[in-house]
Amino acid sequence: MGASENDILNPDPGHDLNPNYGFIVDRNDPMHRFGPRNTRPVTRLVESEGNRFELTWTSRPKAIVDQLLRWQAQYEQGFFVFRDHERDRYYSGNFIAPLKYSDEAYEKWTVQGIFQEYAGVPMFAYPDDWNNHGVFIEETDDFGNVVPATSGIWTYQAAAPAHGGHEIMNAGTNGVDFATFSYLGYGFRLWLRTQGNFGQCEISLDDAVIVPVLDLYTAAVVASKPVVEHPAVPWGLHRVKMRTLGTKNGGSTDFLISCDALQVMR
Amino acid sequence: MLPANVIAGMKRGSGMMPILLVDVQLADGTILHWSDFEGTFPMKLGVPGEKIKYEAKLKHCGPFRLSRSLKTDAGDVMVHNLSGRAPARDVSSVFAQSEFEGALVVVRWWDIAFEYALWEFHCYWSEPSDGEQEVGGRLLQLFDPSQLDAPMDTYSEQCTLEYKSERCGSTSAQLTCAKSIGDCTVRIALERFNGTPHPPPVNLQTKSASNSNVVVRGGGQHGGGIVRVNLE
Repeated sequence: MGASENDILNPDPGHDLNPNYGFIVDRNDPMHRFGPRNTRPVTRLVESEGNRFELTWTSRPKAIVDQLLRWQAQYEQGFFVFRDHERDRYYSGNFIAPLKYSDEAYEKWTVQGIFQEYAGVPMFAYPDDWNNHGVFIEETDDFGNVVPATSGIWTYQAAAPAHGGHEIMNAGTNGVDFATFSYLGYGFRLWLRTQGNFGQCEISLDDAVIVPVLDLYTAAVVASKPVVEHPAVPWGLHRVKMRTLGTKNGGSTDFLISCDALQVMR
Repeated sequence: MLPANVIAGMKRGSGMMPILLVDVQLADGTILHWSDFEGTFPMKLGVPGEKIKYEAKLKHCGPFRLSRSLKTDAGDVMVHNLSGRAPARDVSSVFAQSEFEGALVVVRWWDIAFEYALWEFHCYWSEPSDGEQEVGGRLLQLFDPSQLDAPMDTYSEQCTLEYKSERCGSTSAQLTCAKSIGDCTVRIALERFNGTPHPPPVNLQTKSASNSNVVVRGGGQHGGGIVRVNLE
């Protein structure tokens, strides 16, 4: 059995296996919400259900119908890849119920089905159009609250080179303080600034270390930019953790760690 | 008391909902780690603090009804029974192989970003039920007062029966009885004396949540006795 993330239903944009143009894409609301009167809403991320595509193939020859039915049966307990050519995105999932099909006469058929994307499943290609599909999670939200879950002392402060002009800063002198962003989405880019008195930290994703030592030292001040880019993450609820190490580059004059912004692929 | 940073995070208007972590230790020593969110988290049972994979088998856990009275704190737990080789699926296999009744359970409401248990409930599994698609049970607090056997009468050096009553059974010519074991001996009803002419044994003064019932009987065919009192 090969890797199912390479089994693409509709790799060719001109093929009859592509559904009718204008299909509906839907997704469950991932949040619990409470809208109190006269103040801001309260929300908590709960679910990670992926996108749902309501697809129709009209006036298709029998060979296409047979192929679609075979794909449905082949992967009904597994997954395959559906390509959205308009957005140039690939989604891993399967048809969540048997396909409906009907004969239109003249040897033409109509097929309908729902493709469900699954969380935590490998993908053929991970989305990386950061400019169009990436969203930022800053160190504070629109209401002034610090967003990352923090342990230790992280001081909110203005800093012109930081993304959005602000950051939270830790002394970086121990190996236990952390700041953790939680998000719903695919991969991420961690935006950090660097300068001459910054130390080193560790970056982990969902409790797995992906950068054991991230050195934030540069002799000159460098404005915030993506210093860790990790697009190969399946859809789901994730957490990115910056942990201070209490270490620094030999050239650095201090151990400071700045937590700035996370860009998340949606 | 929760740490200040966790309290600040909980007060925020947005964020991620805490997840449920359930550790189960069966009578044969098997330890299971289940969650409603698959991931690696520090275990409570096993090697405490060491991280282990929690399988996303939990459908729901709760609601828990807590009380400050002698009512038993309790909640429900439900685990899916779909995965594994049919017909002996994962969870039902565990049910079949091991005794779930009385299994030690620790439930935690876990904030994955702060890596902190916001709430923790230590309990034991009762009323296990094995269904086709899900299995479940009731989680009852440790030191469950409904497990205690309470005597019908208070422990006392003196007999509590009415002198010459049917339960006392004495036909003595003595007009009164001091309810002591000495008087009872004279009044020839000793086999129905329901006092305890010595301090109660130490193991009656504290009671563990185990199933070993401590049975203390008063004297005789009609005297004393013990009843199980459900305090719920």
